[in-house]
Amino acid sequence: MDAEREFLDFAAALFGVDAAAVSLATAYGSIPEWDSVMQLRLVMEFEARYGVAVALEEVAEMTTLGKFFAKLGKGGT
Amino acid sequence: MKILDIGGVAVEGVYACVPAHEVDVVASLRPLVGDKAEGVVEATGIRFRRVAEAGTGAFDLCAAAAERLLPACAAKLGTSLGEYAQTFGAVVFVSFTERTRMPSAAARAQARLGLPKDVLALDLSLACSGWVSGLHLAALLARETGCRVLLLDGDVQSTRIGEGDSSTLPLLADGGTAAVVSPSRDAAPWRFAFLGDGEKGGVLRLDEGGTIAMDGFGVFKFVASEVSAFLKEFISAASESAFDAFVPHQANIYMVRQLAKSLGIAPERLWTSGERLGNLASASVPATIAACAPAALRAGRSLRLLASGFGGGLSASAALLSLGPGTCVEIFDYGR
Repeated sequence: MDAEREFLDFAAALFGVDAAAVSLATAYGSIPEWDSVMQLRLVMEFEARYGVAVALEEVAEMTTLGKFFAKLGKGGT
Repeated sequence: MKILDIGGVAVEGVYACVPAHEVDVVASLRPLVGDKAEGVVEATGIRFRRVAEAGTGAFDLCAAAAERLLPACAAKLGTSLGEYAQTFGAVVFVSFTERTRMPSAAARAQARLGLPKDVLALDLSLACSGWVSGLHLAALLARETGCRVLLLDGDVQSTRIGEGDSSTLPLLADGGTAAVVSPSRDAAPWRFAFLGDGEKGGVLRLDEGGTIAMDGFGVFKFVASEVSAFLKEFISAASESAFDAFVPHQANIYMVRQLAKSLGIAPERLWTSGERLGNLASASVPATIAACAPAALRAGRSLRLLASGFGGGLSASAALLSLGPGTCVEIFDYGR
């Protein structure tokens, strides 16, 4: 499994949606499951899973899955 | 940033009164979000909320706090409650949920607590940043009048949560507080600063029906960008060693931990109470002081606190204030 697919599967599982329903272009608010509380959960789970720290100022800017994936240094938009 | 310094005032006491009824957030949220409830609580850090019984309002909780605080302060000074009550020159009441607007809650407090008829009694309609704003006004009034000022701050938010609103239900709770600010020649000066961005007021508001409407992400963005920068500037204008503890509004625990981290404040200097009380709006700052200060004051030394409220307005406030070793502090359950 490539890194992007693995990351998207992680996000989809957290959102509780089918893996096919998300992509790196999926944005905050574009699906009902990604609300403000889910944003905090996503950051917390992301930090724990990948060992990456997200600063407070960054949390509000991480509005697409691509931006999260980019934090891993593996591309994304 | 306007830095506002004020000297010659002290806090004699801070008491908090919270409803005895403790709501388990996971259990209350499960009918709305199912199995995601536990994840929501992990994300907010708020596991329990104190919720008032029907008929109990913000004034009731604040008055209960004051009815226990004033005798404690009088006893500490070795004076009678009646004599102590006559030393007050003003009452300030902060709330955005108090049901009865006229007569004002401050006027009702004057009567209920036996304060002099010549006090200045006024209500302030403020949300999350309100206690620090009220503290600034109380300090000014104490210095101006040479008399004690009673600062009441409380809200009952649970009755204003929209049906099925899974964004506010896991956070908002109820509580009331009372603080006494007094003239004190020898006290260390306090410092204040304020921030307002009324253009973003719609992010957190009472709708026409009196229900709280919150764009959680909008609030988070405000805290992450503007409040964080505001507090960094406020702290840098003082010095890193200028305070013993950071007492933020308990918006949600994850957010305040992140905020403290971004400000370079070590976890042991961050005071929280929201995990077991919930977000009490502006009363969360004095309630956290009432919950956390007793242990620190037991060491018998003064405490310098950085207090900050942020949210509705949108607005933010910051204060550096001191608590002397003899400050009366307590948190208790309503009706007990």
